[in-house]
Amino acid sequence: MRRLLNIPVSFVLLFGIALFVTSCGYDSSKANKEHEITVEAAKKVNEKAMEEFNKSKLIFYSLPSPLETAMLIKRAGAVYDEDLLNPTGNLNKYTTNLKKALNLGIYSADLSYTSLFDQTQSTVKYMANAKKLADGLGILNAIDENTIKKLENNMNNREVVLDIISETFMNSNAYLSEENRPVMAVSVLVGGWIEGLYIATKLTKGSLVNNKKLIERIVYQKLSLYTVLNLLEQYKGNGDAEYLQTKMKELKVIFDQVKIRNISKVEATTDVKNKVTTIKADSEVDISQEVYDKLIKKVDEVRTEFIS
Amino acid sequence: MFRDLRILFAIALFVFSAVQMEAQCFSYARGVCKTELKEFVHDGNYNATVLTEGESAEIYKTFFSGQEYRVIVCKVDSLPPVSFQVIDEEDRILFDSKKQGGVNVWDFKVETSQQLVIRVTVSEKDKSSKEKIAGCVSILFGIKRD
Repeated sequence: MRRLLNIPVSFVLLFGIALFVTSCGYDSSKANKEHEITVEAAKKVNEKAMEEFNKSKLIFYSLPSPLETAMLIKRAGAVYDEDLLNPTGNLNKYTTNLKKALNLGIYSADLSYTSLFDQTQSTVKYMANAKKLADGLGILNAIDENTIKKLENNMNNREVVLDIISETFMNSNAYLSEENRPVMAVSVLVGGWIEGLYIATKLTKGSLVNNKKLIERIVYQKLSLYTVLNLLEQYKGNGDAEYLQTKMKELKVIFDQVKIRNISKVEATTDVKNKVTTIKADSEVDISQEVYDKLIKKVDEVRTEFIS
Repeated sequence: MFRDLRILFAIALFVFSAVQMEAQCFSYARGVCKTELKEFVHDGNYNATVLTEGESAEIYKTFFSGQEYRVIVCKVDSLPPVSFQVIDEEDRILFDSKKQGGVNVWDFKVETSQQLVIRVTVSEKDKSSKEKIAGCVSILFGIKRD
């Protein structure tokens, strides 16, 4: 085993692909001709695979997860509004993999939101929906019956509930990534992100002044949007990714009119004893009421399309 | 004939090993790394990959004001030490784990929301060696509980 681990991964991958392509093309009656084709095909496949492989392992983009988004909303002093959630009865509408993935993210965001506000019955209902969508996507054991039972048994222990939500989200995310279904993994993230943005914008009731902390959270989603676009850019050529990219670019047109800039250098102060580094900078943000109105409308439009 | 079969078997084993390494990454991230988050709740995002000695990976993440984050960088025992840096948008290093004794866990309080880059680098045991070790590296983020 140790010896195997000493082999560079890129070498193993190249060898594996070459073996796969060679074995697929083998036919003794046409050996010479096919050999040429196989070599050419192998070269192209290898180059493309290596490019993808290197790209994917060198750069990651981490979006705020549904759980983090819900925490940001709650800590901004927002209230709970059940009417904002995607109704659980919509579940049967989701028949394509893209819709299942998007709404797995959306229901994950909803269940994170319900759990942070101790709406335990709703949390269980939304978890059940998330389970059905995860099952529909073939994500094995991401959310099993034990998860639901554990959730029901710990409904009054928010910390355990948060851990269960975090665990199930990680399971889905990891399963899709490792099963080489990265576009579906990204779609779950995009669904969760847009739902968080939808809930946050709706909770402000269109006002830029009622809850400035929540507005700040919303404005800074401009940075997350660039992360989403970078993520999707990696899967150009995939129809689902291109569809999501189009939707996100519609949002970008509006977010581009939001100004965020650091007016001082980013400073970091490290407290060695407590192992904490504090990061700060003076920054300016600017969003007009007109732009905010457009943003609310566009987020609503995109989210409505996702849940329909 | 037997020699060919042996080669094929060895190749198949290598391929299986690479796939296994990726799959083991998840078990490792969940079973080993996540436990170090302790009083921080894991955000649920899965960031792990197989890296080879000398390689780096970067992760772009927005950190929000008023939050306290815990960053954990884990690696399998077979890999040489892994270090991480936190870098701002102008490529300035805000934190370097090497300067803190090679720690793999650190907390960050953010007073102004920022997009930052976490750069993880696997050191090399022997730079002149052509044989490099590959293994799972996982980067997890936790958010301080209320």
